[in-house]
Amino acid sequence: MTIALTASPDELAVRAALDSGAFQSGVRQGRWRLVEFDWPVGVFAVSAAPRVDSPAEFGLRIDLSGYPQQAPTAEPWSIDRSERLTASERPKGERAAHVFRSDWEHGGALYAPWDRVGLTSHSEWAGRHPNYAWHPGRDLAFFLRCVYDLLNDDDYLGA
Amino acid sequence: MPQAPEHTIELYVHSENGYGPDLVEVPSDGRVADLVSEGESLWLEDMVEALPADSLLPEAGITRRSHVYRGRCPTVKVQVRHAGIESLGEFSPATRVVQVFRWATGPEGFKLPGAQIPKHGLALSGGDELLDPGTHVGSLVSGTRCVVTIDLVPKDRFAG
Repeated sequence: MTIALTASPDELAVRAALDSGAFQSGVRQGRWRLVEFDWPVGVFAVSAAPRVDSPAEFGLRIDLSGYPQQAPTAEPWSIDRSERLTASERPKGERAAHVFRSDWEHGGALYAPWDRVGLTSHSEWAGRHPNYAWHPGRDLAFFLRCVYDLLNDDDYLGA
Repeated sequence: MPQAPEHTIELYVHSENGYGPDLVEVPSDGRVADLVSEGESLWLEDMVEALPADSLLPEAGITRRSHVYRGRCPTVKVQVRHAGIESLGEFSPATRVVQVFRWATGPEGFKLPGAQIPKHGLALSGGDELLDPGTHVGSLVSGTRCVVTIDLVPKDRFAG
């Protein structure tokens, strides 16, 4: 990946994360892929378990500014239309629907402690959910893995 | 047009030095011994036996983007804790966490009801994340002991 000479530390960190074994291994395994990248935003597709009349993957438009000191924040995204997913297009199921809820922050972020908006609006989450909360030691593959896990859980019911 | 032979291949190398694999480019006609340091062995993912050090990579079954584990522990003793009970197993260091999860939740482990299995995950004791199912158990050892302690925990729901 070409790196701009004027790249900021957070951009350099993201580009290193995109080249990392953890991220590339996920790509190779079909867990996720990078659709487009225009700093500080990357559009990613995360694969979902097969369900009737449901997409094979869900798009996320991820703002990575401040990475990794700040958590990324992801907007559920239609890759075809380049706009936010509607409520009916979002993943269903006990855990997935909760994280992809559209009735919070206008559906513009993930309701989860690995998402910047989710974490900053719930100060207790870092202590209550240490296995899921973002901190600067996390990486992009962790963020995507959390989403992949939701979309491949037995309780994921499709969209 | 015949394709030119590949002179190098990329491998995912798991080791004791981190949860995620490193993407490493090596000569395609190299030997297993080229990938390890003194005292280390190499395994193909989920395989029990270490690969012979003098094998050529293709002979050893190592192909483009294979996942391999490099380390010094011949086996890893895995202690899984759940609801105040401990269960002990022994695995090849190249065993993926998903295999340990199947063992821990199944008849040889904690015998979780089927509906409960997807609601649980494995977390390294003292760690701060659910383990990636693709992580090799050998990547979880630290220090000189080939032992790892893992907790079988419910997956969280977020509220507030």
